[in-house]
Amino acid sequence: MAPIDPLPLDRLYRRCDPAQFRFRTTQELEEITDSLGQQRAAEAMRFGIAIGCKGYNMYALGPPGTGKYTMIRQHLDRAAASAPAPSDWCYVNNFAEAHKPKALELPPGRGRPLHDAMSHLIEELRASIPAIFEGEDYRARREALDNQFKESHEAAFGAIQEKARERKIALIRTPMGLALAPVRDGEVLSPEEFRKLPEAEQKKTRDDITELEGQLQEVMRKAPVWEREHREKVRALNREMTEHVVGHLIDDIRKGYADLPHVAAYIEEVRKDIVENAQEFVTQEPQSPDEQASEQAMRRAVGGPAAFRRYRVNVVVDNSVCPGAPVIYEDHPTQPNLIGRIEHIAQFGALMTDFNLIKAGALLRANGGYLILDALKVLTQPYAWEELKRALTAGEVRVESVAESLGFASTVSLEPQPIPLDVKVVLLGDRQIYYLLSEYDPDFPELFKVAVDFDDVVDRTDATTRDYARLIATLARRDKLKPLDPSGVARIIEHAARMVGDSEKLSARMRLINDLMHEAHFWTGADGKEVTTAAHVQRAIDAQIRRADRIRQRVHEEIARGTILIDVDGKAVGQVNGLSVMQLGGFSFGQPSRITARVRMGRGEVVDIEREVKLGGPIHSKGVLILSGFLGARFARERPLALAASLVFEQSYGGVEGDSASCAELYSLLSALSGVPIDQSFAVTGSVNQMGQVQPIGGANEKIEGFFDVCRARGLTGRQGVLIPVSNVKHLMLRADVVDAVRDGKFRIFAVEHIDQGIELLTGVPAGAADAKGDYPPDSINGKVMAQLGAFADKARAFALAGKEPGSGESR
Amino acid sequence: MSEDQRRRPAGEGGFPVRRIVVALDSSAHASAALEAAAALAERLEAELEGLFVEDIDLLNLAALPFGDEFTLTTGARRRLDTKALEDQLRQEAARARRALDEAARRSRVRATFRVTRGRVPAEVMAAAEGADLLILGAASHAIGVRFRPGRVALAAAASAPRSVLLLRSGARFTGKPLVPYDGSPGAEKALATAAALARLNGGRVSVLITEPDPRKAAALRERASQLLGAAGVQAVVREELEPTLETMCRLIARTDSDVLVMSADDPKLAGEGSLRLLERVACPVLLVR
Repeated sequence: MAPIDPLPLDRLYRRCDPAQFRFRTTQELEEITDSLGQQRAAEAMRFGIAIGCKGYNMYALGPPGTGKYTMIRQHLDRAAASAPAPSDWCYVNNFAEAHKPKALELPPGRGRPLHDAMSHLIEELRASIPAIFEGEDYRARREALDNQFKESHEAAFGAIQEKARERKIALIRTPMGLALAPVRDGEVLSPEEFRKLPEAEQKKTRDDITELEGQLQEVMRKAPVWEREHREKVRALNREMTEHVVGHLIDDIRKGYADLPHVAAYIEEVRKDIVENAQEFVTQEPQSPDEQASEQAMRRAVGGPAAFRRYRVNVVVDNSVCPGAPVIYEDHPTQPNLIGRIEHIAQFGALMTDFNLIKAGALLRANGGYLILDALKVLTQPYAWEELKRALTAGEVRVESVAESLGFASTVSLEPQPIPLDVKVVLLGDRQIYYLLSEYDPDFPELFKVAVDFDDVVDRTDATTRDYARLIATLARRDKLKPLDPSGVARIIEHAARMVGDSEKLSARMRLINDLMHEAHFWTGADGKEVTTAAHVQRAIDAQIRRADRIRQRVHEEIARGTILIDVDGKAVGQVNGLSVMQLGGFSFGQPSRITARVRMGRGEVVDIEREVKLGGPIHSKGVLILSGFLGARFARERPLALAASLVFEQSYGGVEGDSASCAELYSLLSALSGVPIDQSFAVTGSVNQMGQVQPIGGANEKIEGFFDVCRARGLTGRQGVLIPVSNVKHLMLRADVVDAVRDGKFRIFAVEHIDQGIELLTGVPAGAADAKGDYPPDSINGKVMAQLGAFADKARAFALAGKEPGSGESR
Repeated sequence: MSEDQRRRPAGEGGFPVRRIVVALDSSAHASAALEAAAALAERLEAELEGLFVEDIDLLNLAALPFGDEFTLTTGARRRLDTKALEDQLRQEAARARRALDEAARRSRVRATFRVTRGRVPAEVMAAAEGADLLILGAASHAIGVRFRPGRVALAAAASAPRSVLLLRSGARFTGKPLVPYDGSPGAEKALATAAALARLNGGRVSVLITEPDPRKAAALRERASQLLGAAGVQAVVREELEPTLETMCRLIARTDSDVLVMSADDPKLAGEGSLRLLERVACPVLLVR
């Protein structure tokens, strides 16, 4: 197999040439309005906004910091600006059923004037109605009615008393009522005195009392009727007097709403109620301090004393200043903040409420427009998700407390009339939530039919590079950051490629880019400069790494001190330097690990020690099992694979996952089987398939840099290097010091396509190609491996013939 | 007025009261009487005696073979039973006692309670013999929507052996007296009593000169001012050309006075004068003897 050369410098890092930019600073660049590289998401947004069908709400999915909110807000604001402002909504008293407040819909901007008109009406009534009832005219007529009642009452009882007096009988008050008794000189006769009366007189007295009792009973039966009649007359008088004042005030308001019949009808209901209950306007103010305090609290909350509150108008949605459709972002989407709530006020230990205490939630405020919500927040707030779905499904908002909807409420509460809902909800969240909801919540696909999928990377082309520069300029201008020169912009673009670990892509996570710009701005200021350059950006990057790399430093220190055993020169059989990546928060770094293999005669098993002790994940185990497949297919097609091998990540105690070490494991196995030592100057990464092809892995940059750091600490020899899969070359965006070392011939990076290429590099011995019979040259690695496996198979057969168990033989 | 003057013990000045009898029953007027009695007893450091009379007329009525009553709430007829009536009266007495004890505790005065059986006016008058002041509700128990003075109140106004304070339910009694003054010995005594009441409460006395002759009226004005000045009480003196009951009733409604103090021997109370007065004056009336 032809020897492979180290990768040239230009494959290790794709520069962004500042010379390609024709500006001096980003101040000269035009702002970019569309999100970069999010065409798919933008198309989905436009579709979601335009389609009017029910259930076509949107879910914007993508990693945080990709500019989801900014782009969605831009699209929604644009769409909302050209849409008509939606209706105002008010809650008013339901005079038939006070616990079911009515919802009134008014054209935008007409709710507040109705509220003001009714408040003005109340103020007028507070002054004018008491004036009527305190006026001479009313007093005289009321007194006449009262006197008429008293006279008729007195006359009825007086007639009985007079008749009784004539017959020497008195009407006496008993503890419970009234009784008639014979009297003499004003005193009731005792039984003895009564018995002493002549028989005829006794009989007459009895007869008289019987007759009077009949009349008394008749009067007492009629008394409540007279009282009722009196009250009705007083009410009629009150109505007449009130009508006189209220009539023209109400007419004035009603004229303004003649074009809205339902509002006019409500105003008419108000008129009737005021006339019916005018007496309440002259009711005395509460006297006790507790009553006063409570009343004042209620007044503060809803305005005005109790008698007037029911005529107020509670404007829950006011679109008077809304130029188009509303776009609402609710950043605290609790159930009450979403749906609305009914507040209560404590009065003498009881919780009281009325329609004035109904508060709109985000759904109502966004009604007729758009509502943006964070999916995770909605899902983690109790009942918020269920209530949101209920409102969207029902197409109406029913304001009620959670306790009430669950049937737990014991306080007096309200059942406000539901308000029809026409809103487009946009949920923002990560992909995992979207897929989980799609899988487990059957309502979700019905209600959120439009997925707005944000990409986290952008293709790195000349055009996108130019757009990226404009985006950087836009962010700098928006956040009032110091302008950047072409070198600063280029360095940020290079870093954007490194962030996604791909020289052909750029990161779309603009929040991270924005953070970097802010930090570069800081360092520019610290440097006393007005323009941010590549040096300032680099300083910001270095500072970010410095703040995060405590663990990396410790790990590398332990390797340098020999606590973690890693060789970076010399040769060893069955031992290779693997590479892993450790992710800590937003920072990741590469770390070499010693991988060793031991082989002996056995039953064809490759034992993954990590898996045996449950420190290996399933993907890692898969990688190891693939090795058995490779070995069996290549070396033991015609005979048993009489091999027992064990593989281990030395000094690994935290678990291993991923198959990026499967190449290294195979190299160590081949070394152990062939007995040919591996050059410890190399580290290896890559996964392998059953055909021996090397497959790409993640974190190539970090892994190379991790091994480079260890080698540099021990001293760069010029022989040291890393073997990576060919398919990872396009991902290389290596650190400047690594690139410099390669330039100086102190470090090397090889791109390997097949396992045979790798083993040749690592051992300096040809891998060997199979002849027509499938045999390999005896001096090649493959030949030695085959020979060893053949020896194991022969011995195993000998053991089998001798009746012995294989597996107790020699090992290497 | 100094604290010493306001706290002058009972028996000094023009209102020597050591023992107050208050007639109790279940009516709201009696409750008003009890409240006023307790407040006065506290200020005068007097002893309070509650009196409940089991009305013999009611018991006689119950004992008659045809004693039926008609309940006020429903008008239903039911037999008036002696045993049940006695139970009711006992319960009423117990309630009255509890009310007295509570009022005495609040006012920190000594109180005794007595139940007698007999004709109510006679029993109340008899109890008043041993007291300095009799206090009772002014209203009748009879049926009717119009206020009527009770027979006991009228009897007390006419013939109580001691001064008597008559109150309606809901009447405020803070001791701002209005007193008619004609220079008679009875009027002098009423003026002194009013002065004592005003001094107790830190108020002033409104004096109504009831003398048609301007010259005599001026002398009376001078005299009243002197007497009240000597008692250390501020006086507001008014003159009325027609010193009738009606005049007094109108005047008391216009001033901030809340108790009418007058001599029980005032000629205006003769005949049906007391009845007319009590019918028309809503504020408490103190008849001085």
